[in-house]
Amino acid sequence: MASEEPSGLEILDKVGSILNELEQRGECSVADLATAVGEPLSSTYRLVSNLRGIGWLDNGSRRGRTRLGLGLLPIGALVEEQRNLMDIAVPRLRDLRDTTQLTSYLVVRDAEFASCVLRYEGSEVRNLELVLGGRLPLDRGGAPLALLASLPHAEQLKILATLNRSEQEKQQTADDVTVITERGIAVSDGDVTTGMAAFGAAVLNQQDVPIAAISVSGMRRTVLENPDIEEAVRATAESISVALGRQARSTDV
Amino acid sequence: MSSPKAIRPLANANEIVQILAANGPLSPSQISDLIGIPRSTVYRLADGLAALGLIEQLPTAHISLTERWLHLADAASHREEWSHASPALDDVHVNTQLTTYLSVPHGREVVCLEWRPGSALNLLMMRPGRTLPLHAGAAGRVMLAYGEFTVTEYLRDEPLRFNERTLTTASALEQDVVETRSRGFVFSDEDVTEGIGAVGVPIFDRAGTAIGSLSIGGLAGEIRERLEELATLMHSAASQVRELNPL
Repeated sequence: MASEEPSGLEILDKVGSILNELEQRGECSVADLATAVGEPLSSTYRLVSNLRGIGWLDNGSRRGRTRLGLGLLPIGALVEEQRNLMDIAVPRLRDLRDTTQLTSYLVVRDAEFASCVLRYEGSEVRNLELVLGGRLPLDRGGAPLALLASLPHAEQLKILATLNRSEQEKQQTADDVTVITERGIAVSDGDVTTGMAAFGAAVLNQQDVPIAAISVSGMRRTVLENPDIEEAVRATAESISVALGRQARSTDV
Repeated sequence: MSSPKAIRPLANANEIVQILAANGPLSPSQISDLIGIPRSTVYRLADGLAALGLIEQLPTAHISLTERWLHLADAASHREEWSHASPALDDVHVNTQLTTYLSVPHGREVVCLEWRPGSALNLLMMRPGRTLPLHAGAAGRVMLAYGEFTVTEYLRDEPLRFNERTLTTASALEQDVVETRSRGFVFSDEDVTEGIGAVGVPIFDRAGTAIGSLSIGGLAGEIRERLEELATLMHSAASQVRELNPL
């Protein structure tokens, strides 16, 4: 007769403990893992050996140790390719539009410009400054400024030089960037269209590289007088970044 | 020690993960059809994997792998023997302006552990987490020449042909191994992607075992012209990695 086999769910639960332990500690002995899982050594050996067989674990760099397996790398690479920015951003930008009632945008960098790749119309007057497929220089508007501020300093200087900005304009942008970095969000108040304002925040990938930015824009008063809007933009940018693989900020824990 | 008995639910769970990695989100019935396990089993294992945060159900009721895999892959790629390799990769990248790779053997393939992206990037197949078989590309062929498999052992399975320049016969690969070992590096001349070349050298541990490779990829014409210069630069970087290996 078959020996008593634990159910799939029990096994997976133990697999989860082993993965967590190794992710946190790097390399462990099987005895350490047995303690973490709360299982006898013999059944832990069997589980570890099976996990090695499917590539989820490898032998460690030192004898008797176990570590996470190289077989996890191709899975991670495929997941990264599938979780592309647009798929992740579409539902979140729609939500942002629904909660704020303002027009929401996603921009990506295009040399010294920011190109609009998603735009969901709010309920207010239609703003024609940044249409789908249109672009703004990186030093104008909420989302472009947020993207600019998250780039390395040397890169920012190069962009401003290419844009042929005067010394005064460069200084103004440098001051804006300082404020954006401190506040974690870009505020554009009438710098694109008089009477309109926007909040923008950068989207970072797993390697903390800024790859896009989002914003909402609307009538100046509606945008600037409601603190919930700033928070909604911040939260949406963070949620897109996390879905792209960036570790959630430790303040959330 | 004989290998312990296979744990069936784990093998099935891995099949679900692999099929989702290869195809993107799928419905439970598609998964059931593709891997030939009952739908009830798919549901049960999917619940278990979801409890670990490894998969999630989308609003369309499709099942998708989560970003947790990115973190696991990231953690798996941090390995003590390579912890001091970064400066050597940086050196090669800065001096050549070409995309630079650190790859390690994983069974009958090599997997890219780390890279420094350079020019011709969009044309290159290899990037972190991606694999190459041992008979193709600089990183793959270095490990065939210096790794654990003989050509005969490796050719147990039919080798994948990327294009007509891919080496697929035993005689071509035997000759490649001999040439590689005599000159100390591989020149991959458009054998994976047309127009793309690469140079790879082995990295040894203190016991003299080849534990990985350093390679660079770019436009084939440029690589061909600079071949000797690139190979010399990479040999010195590979010895630097060997010196700094803490194990």
